[in-house]
Amino acid sequence: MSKPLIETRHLKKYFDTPGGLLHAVDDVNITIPRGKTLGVVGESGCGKSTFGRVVLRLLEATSGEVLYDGENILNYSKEQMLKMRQKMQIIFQDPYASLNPRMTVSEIIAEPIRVCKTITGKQEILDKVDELMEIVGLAERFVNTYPHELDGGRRQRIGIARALALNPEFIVCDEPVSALDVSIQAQVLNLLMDLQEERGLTYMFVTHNLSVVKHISDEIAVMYLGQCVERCSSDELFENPLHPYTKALLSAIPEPTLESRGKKQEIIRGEVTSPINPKPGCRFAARCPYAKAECRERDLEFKEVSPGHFVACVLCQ
Amino acid sequence: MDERLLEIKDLYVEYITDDAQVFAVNGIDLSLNKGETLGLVGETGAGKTTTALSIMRLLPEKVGLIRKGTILLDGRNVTEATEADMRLLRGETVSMIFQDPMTSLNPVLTVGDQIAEVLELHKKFKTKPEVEARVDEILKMVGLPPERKHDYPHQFSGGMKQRIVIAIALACEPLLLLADEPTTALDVTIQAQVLALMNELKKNLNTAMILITHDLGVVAQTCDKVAIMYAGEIIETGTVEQIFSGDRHHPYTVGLFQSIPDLKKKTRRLHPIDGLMPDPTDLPSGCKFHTRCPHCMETCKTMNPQPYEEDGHMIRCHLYGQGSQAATD
Amino acid sequence: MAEMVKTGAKKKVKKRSQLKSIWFRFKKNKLAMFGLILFLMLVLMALSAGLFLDYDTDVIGQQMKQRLQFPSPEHWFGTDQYGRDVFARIVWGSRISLSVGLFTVGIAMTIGGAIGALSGYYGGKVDMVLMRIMDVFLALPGTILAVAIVGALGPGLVNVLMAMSICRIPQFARIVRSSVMSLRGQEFIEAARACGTKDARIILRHIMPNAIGPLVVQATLNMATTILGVAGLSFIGLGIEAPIPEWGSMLSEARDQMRYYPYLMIFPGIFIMLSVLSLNLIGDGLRDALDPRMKN
Repeated sequence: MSKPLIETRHLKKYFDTPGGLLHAVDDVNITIPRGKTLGVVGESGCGKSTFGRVVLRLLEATSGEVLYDGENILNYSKEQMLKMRQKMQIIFQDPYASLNPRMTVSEIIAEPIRVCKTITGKQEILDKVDELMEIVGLAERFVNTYPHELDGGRRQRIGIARALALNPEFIVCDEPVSALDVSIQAQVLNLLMDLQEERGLTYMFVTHNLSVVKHISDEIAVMYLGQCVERCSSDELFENPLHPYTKALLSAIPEPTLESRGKKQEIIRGEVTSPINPKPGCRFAARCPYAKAECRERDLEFKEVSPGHFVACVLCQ
Repeated sequence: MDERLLEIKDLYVEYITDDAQVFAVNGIDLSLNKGETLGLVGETGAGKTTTALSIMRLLPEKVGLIRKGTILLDGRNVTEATEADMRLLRGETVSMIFQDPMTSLNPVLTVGDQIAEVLELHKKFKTKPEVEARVDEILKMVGLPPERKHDYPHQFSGGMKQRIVIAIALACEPLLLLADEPTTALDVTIQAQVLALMNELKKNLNTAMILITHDLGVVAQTCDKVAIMYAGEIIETGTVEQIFSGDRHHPYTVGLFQSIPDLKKKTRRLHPIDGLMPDPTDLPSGCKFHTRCPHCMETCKTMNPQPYEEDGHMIRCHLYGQGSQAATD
Repeated sequence: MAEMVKTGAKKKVKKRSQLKSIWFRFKKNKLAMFGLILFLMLVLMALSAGLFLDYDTDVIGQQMKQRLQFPSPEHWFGTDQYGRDVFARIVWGSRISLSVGLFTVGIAMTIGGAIGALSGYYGGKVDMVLMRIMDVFLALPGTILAVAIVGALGPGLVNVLMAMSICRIPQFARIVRSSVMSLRGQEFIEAARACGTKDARIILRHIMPNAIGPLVVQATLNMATTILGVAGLSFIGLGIEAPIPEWGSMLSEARDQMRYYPYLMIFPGIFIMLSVLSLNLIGDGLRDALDPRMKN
């Protein structure tokens, strides 16, 4: 296997809050091969969005390494980082908040080009904007419109065009379709997958929607309270989930079929707590139906139980 | 027929703003029996919430207008009721849960007070201790410890807040509950908990419910009947079985189902519906869906299809029924 | 929207510059245009003052024989207690009053805006230090602060300008800070950062245009109090010195005669009102024009 494009090693991000140290990302290790998609799933507050931002160095990590093509970008200087930024981009969840309301569509898409000066000359930039708009399927007549005049799907396309403006290799997609209607959601997912095919993009797809993540990912990492509890290929995760949290998550999805109706779902009790000053041991133990004394005592190893399938659970050690 | 709780006939609702006339609901018929759950499915701007607000008569004043039609709720015509009548109806006969539990609770009142307020408004109980006892009972019913009634909304998590909202809505045991995307803002595991709770309460209290959602999965798990809305019209309605199985469907319904990634199969591409929801200020002629429909025919562009019905399964599409060819609008 | 679609129908869509589209939206606002024309007339009056009125004879030359005359064809606005023509003094006074108002607010807005932007954007220690300094200024009543500053620097137009600006900085800093703070966390700022945008560009290009609304309103409201504030300073002998005409001091000089010669007060008052009104209208129009969401 070739060198992965993205790799994180013992990546940690703690926030100092009045209540104590919040372990938003706690020792997460992932790898993403070039041209593939890693899905990061979890419920709100599990640190998945923070993780995406730490990987891009939009937030500074507390400790650990982020390797891009084998090089630790966390040691990069400001200038090196500026160069690096062109290779990695982000697409946001909220197509309303992620676009500057005072700028027109073409200004928004051109902004990264102007900042990084990858292309100079007024006409050249405008041509590039036209090209990008065509790629993401935005009609040319929208160049002078403002984001508020467009619907969610089109706005999200602007966000994608902006991310593509610098020809990145790696894109973090932070819940890019959560705010969209199902039919529009499918259009955007198709666009993202087509772009990956054409340009060999590498994605990290952060979401809480399991059916979306299954559809788009090659590999999936499940996060719970800042930790990665299970990681394996997408098919494996859905066929053979091992961690009790993954199982609970999968059984909680309401399926749009009648076969599963009325079947007694395995509903897990309790709610996600916040990872402030967490106690040692498995963080899911409080809600886990299989929890033993052992779970609460020691931190668990993230163990490879079968090739490519990693789990952090006592049941599998 | 005495079981009939809600009967909407030929309802038209418009929003009139300074620069546009928005056709939000365009002639819908809907009926619901006691204890039944109806899933109202559609995308943003389909008119789902407007329908619910019309039943509550909570459309924005001066802007939202019921143009035509009747809404019979438990035998009374809501469209002609006075504001005083409505105030009595709301809470006792019909109540509503909104999407965002964070903003539908008053942050400066304790949750106990907020539940008690509803009870006092409807004069259900005479004395303070009686009200307090009922508050405890209601909290227990939605799975929260009664001791927490002295806490303020910010001290609860999202899922718990939605439980409180449900508690307030059900405090007077209404006959009909309108739930507008009650679980959209919640995480999946919490969503499962809340849905299970709602199902149980509905059964115990024999409350009818209209569940507004865009999530077909939620509908499949909880509803008895389904109505699919598009551009202010109900384009298909029937029992869950008829909608989720069976082979005759409106092309829009088919498109909706194909837009959801299937958990069982690995598909490379999804087959979404092309294009966008039409602008509600400028709806297309004929069938409202014809601009996006893969089966669009000439008649679709000019003539609005008549409902085609088979065992209570209604589809509004020119593909079905022979009469539709000759029918005039 | 409809118009956008129409222009879009052409093959090559021409890109309209930001300034042009702001002007385009401003023009559509009739009240704002009225304010702009009114203000331009006042400015024109100030600029052309020297063309038809001689400063030495008409404005500061005292003619005791003609003192306290009511408005007449000869003296449009009457004469004051030293026989000076009120109209001439108002016209010449506009030079001082308008420039005091504009410069003070301009300086306060720029410095206050910069302080607020830095403080709101960086937060933490920077915010702490800057805001505590602003709090010290806010703790003293504005007039007393101005008196203290002019007292230290000595009277004179420039010193008065400085004093008035300094005591208005904190208000602007506070307003800008709060809007910057709410904008700072927005995703479009993060998007800008994700492609390596420098802080200065983020503040100037992404944050400030979104924070300008309340700033503009505050600025126009401040004009009026500034003109009156200068009058107050003049009154206690720390502002503009005696014979130099200035609306605020004309107003305060007229106080003694108010009962029998009200026109002495009314005319400068009207001009202060007109300039404030025109600026308020411009300010409102500008705020809306700067926001593309306000289409109509």
